[in-house]
Amino acid sequence: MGIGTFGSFTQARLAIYAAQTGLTVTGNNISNINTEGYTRQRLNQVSLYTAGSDRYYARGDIRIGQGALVKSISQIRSPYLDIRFREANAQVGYLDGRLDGLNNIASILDEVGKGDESKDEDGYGILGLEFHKIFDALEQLVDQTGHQEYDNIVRQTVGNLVSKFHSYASQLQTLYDNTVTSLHQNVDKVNGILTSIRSLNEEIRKCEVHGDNALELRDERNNLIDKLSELVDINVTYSEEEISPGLTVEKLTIRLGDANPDGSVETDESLLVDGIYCGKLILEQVPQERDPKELEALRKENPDDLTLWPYLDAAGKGTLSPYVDAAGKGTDWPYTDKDGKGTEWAFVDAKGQGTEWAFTDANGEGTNDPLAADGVTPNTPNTPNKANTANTENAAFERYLKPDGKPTADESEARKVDNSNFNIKLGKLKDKIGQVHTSIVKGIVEAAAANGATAQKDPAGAAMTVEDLFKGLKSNSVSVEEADVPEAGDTTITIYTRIRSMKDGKPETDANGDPVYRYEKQVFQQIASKVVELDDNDLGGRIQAQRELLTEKGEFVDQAVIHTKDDTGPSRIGDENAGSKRGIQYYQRALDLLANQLAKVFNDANQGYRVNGDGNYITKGTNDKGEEIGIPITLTGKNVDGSDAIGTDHQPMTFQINKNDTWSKMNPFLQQALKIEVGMKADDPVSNEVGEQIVNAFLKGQSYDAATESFVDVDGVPPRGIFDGGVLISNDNASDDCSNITASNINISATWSVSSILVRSFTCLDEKTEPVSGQSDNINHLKYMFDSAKLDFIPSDLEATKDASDEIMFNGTLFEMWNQIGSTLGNDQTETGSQLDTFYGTALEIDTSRDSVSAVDFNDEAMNLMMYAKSYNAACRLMTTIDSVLDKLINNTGLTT
Amino acid sequence: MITRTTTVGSLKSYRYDLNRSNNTMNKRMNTALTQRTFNSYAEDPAMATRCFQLRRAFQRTASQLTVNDSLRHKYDVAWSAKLTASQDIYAMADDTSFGSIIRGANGADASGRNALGQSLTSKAKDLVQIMNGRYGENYVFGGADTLNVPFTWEPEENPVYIAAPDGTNADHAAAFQYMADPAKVADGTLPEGTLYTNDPTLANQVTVDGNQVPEENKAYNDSYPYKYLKEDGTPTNSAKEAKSVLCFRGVRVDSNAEGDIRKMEEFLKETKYVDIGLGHKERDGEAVSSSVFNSALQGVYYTGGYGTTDKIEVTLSNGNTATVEDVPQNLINIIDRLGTILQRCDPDNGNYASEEDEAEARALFKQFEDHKDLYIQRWTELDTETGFLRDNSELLTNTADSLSQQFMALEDEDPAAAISAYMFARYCYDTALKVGNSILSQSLMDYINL
Repeated sequence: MGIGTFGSFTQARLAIYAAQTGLTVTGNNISNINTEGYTRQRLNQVSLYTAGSDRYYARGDIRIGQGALVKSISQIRSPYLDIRFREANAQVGYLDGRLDGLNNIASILDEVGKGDESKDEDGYGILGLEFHKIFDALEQLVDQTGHQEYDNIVRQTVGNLVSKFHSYASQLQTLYDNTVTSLHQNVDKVNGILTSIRSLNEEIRKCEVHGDNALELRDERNNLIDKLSELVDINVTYSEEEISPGLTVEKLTIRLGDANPDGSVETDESLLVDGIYCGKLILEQVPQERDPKELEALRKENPDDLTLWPYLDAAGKGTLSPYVDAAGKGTDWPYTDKDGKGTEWAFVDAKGQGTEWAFTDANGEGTNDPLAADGVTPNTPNTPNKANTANTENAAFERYLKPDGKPTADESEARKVDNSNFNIKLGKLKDKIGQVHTSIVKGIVEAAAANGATAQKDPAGAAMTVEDLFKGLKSNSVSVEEADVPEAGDTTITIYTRIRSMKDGKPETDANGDPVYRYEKQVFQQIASKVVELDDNDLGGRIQAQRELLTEKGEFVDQAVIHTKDDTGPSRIGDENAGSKRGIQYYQRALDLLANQLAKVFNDANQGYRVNGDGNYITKGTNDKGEEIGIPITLTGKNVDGSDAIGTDHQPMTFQINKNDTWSKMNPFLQQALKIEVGMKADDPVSNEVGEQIVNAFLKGQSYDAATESFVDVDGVPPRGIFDGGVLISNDNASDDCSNITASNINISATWSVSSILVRSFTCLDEKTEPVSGQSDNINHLKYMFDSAKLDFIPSDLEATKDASDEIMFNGTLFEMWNQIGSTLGNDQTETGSQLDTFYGTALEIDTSRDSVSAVDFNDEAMNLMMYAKSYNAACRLMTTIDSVLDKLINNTGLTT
Repeated sequence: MITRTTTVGSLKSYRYDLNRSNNTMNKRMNTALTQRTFNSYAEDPAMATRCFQLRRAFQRTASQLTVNDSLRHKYDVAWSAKLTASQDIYAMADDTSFGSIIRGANGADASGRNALGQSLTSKAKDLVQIMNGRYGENYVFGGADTLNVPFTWEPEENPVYIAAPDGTNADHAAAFQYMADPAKVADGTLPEGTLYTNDPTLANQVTVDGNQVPEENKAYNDSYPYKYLKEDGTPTNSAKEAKSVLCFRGVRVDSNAEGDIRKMEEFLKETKYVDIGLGHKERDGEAVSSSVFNSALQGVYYTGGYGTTDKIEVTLSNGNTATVEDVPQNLINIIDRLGTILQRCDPDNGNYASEEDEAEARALFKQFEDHKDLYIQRWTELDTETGFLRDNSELLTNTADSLSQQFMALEDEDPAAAISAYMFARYCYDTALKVGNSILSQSLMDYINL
């Protein structure tokens, strides 16, 4: 069949329309060349061809297309490149976030090229210069010992160093606080993006239902997904979703991108977006607890105030211990072992390992059964530990702070603050009106026993069998619904089907002639979306970097974190790589450890008892002239029964205590005498560490208090030795308390700030009680310890990280430790920077590749412009030609002149 | 298939490359401006660490140099003291008349004894003043006791002085006349352990010539309440009346008492260590002596020592021989004692006041002659140490220079290289800008003509 008379006009019209549409698409491409995330569009046109066969078909008939038909406008994108880009982008986000944080730390701690320019001392560093000034002051003091002004210079220089520590600690804390704020902002940003993507999904879905491709909305969505991929590691998939019979629309699903290196963790693939549902990241909030130091001080002031104690003992008095042992002493442990040490285990097995089981079977497994499974063979009994008495938890304990800063015992009233680990949860997937996403898990059809129990209950509350369900029913199908199964919020529906049994091709009947049935069941589970507690390493991207900057402590991490097997439960504490991840807290703790060691060096070197030239501790005596003199402290050795030890000369053995004698090297008779002197039994076994404490307590004039297992001052008993010096560096400039010193609280002690207590020497000449005026061996010692001694820096030395490793993280001088902090930071920066460079390059390369597919190019569009313009012209020419031809046909055909 | 290069893609790549180029140029500019090869740990962690260590070593050396120079000046002061004192000693030793005056028989030589005595006494005082010289606020020859004057003239102490006698103390025997009655101790009238008493009614009664009398304590010395002794040996409580004796850091120099000798030995063993870059090390909390410099100069050591020589035999002018005990070792003591003896000589004929005086004078002179070489030898030791400090100063200066050169070599950028690198980066950046201009201007769009 040929074209109709005016059909050619339609052909030209369609061509003009197609060309014009092409020009419009090209124009749109050119217009959006600078629009972020815009994907170039393409006109899809087809040749219009009327298909089908005519009633009468002529073999010689020619069929021609009836013009160009604009079919659709489509985008040109490569999903593969999108996936690759987003993977690389997550790495870029993570590394960029990490480098950003490290650079911020470096802006505080990196002293390369810094210093006092006014004195041409740039390049020595700021803290580094203070280290030198202390060394120089000590060196000068050695030369000018005894002159107060040189003492003061040492104090001044130490004061300057302490100020720098404060400044750095404060800047690091500010950085930490800012990073917390930034993490909150980024979490909000992710949630904003997820909500926007959900809205776009809805809009796109609506458009698709109405036949619109919604290209611009997809661009916007892709743009948001790209942004999201920088913040968290994601995995994007597209699928078809049937929204009504025969009508499917595209469904976008975004999951976390399997970032966790631990393969056993599954939460790192949790759903973020599923079509028109999305979840939200939630930073866990916990009730704010009161400051332990403040509580401790209050307990000292008001020991009877029960709102200050977490537990109550049998007498109703407040206590800190959850248990009381047989000796009436508070303990944190429910049991006490044979050595008197607290333990969580009720028994100890033959290998000495704690266990909850009373017996161990032949396979080494714990059991409470005295006999093996055969009922004859006895299991090995384990040794029971002594059970301690549990104290009562005190409901009145005001553990928390309310938003107004007042204490409260009610957790619900407490102010909510971030969890110290900045745990993140993923909220339930919800649509825009708040309905929770559910997914259906369809089970297989399986046979069900007629007498098998079901979840259905009869009116009496007893479980009904499958057969019971169909009694009195004509229907052959019954559904049983169980709420909150398998978990709260879920629903399980089991559909039971009754089918007539067939035998020999005929319906089977029983002896009574009643029909025989068989039963089948199929389980459908409607699983509601749930809150997912994400693991430490699940997120990836910039948020992961910020969390790590806030939480990772490197060598200062609790050992439990490293050695606990990772799990996805609420504790989420396991991470075997945590020891090598260093965030702000690592640098804070490293600075704390440096400050702590500095204080320890100064305080240890500046406290002690005076000795004579032989190193024996001395005490004050009087000579014949009535003058005060120094005499060595002499003790008579004691036997275990407390009697005097007699030497080979048949005289009582006398000893002097030398400062270089360690407990282990000391004569046993002297050890026994010392123990008796401090109120212990001569045969009390003591470790070397306690032995050193005994010597110290003896010199201090202290006595052993068995109740507290410590040495305490005794009223009216003066020190036996001549104590000299005092605390130089404390945790507060108003006190001499040198416990828990950190970079933020390190201070010149109250005593040193008003007096000169720097000990020049502990060694006195014969009969003297004061060292000679210019003696400086202790200043030299202090200088050596400060500048040259290789000290062990152990993470668990800090009170705040006492559960960290006992291994030495660094051995070197104080200055070398400071250098080490800088160098660790530099290495972290270099490594992260280099990785970022690589990933940024990769991301850029992939993005360029994406652009090569999706981006607008002027040359292309110019070509399109020319092409569609020429097409338009040609179509117009076609129209003119047809018009001219028809004009001839209509107006001039058959006319004769 | 050729990759489709798009305008947007080109611009994105260009923007990244331009940024890198600009970044590189900025880095090079910073290098040229700061003249440093690196400006942060991150740029070169190992090098930054090394440079901080070198700078720390440089600063340490600079401090050690300061202290070394301070010590050197102290030793210079000591050396000046040595010069003055040596000249006097040399002069005395070389002066032949000095010996003649002391040893000569009565006559011309002897007539100068009074004058020489005065001169020697004055010389002894001068020597003490010289040895009490200070550098800055510190006494040079006080050993580690730098704040207290080392040599002093003190009233001679009474060796039996007891401030608060205690009858139970066996060492206080000199303060009690009688032996305590054990029965009175047993019945509690006297405190437990009482050995002596001054109350005759509480004393142990013994029969002498048929009479019951308190048992006398043979160790009783009635001078026990007196602190000092005069020149003639009588006790006194007046410091002014007492005989002046030379003390070093409160210990009598010519004392033979065990306690004093022990103290002097302690002084000589005393150290005042200073870190002058010898590699300060500690073992068991004590400085290793070879790693530090002992700056304690004990004046008593440089003046010939302390204590006395047991016996010196001398031949007197009358041909008799005499043995003199307890001749002081210290030169100041010798000179001072000689001065005292010579001043006691007869002003008319120069005769010694007694044969003992002559014997002692001869013994002292012999001691002087025997010890003058020792004295000079000890000054030479001081010279050697001064020389060591001078050499160490040079060594420390060289070390500081070397350290300075080392860290400068690591840190400081060669200006020519820095400027060249900057110019090259600048050139690259300019080129990148030009390329950018071309990217934006060149496309088919500019050529189509419909």
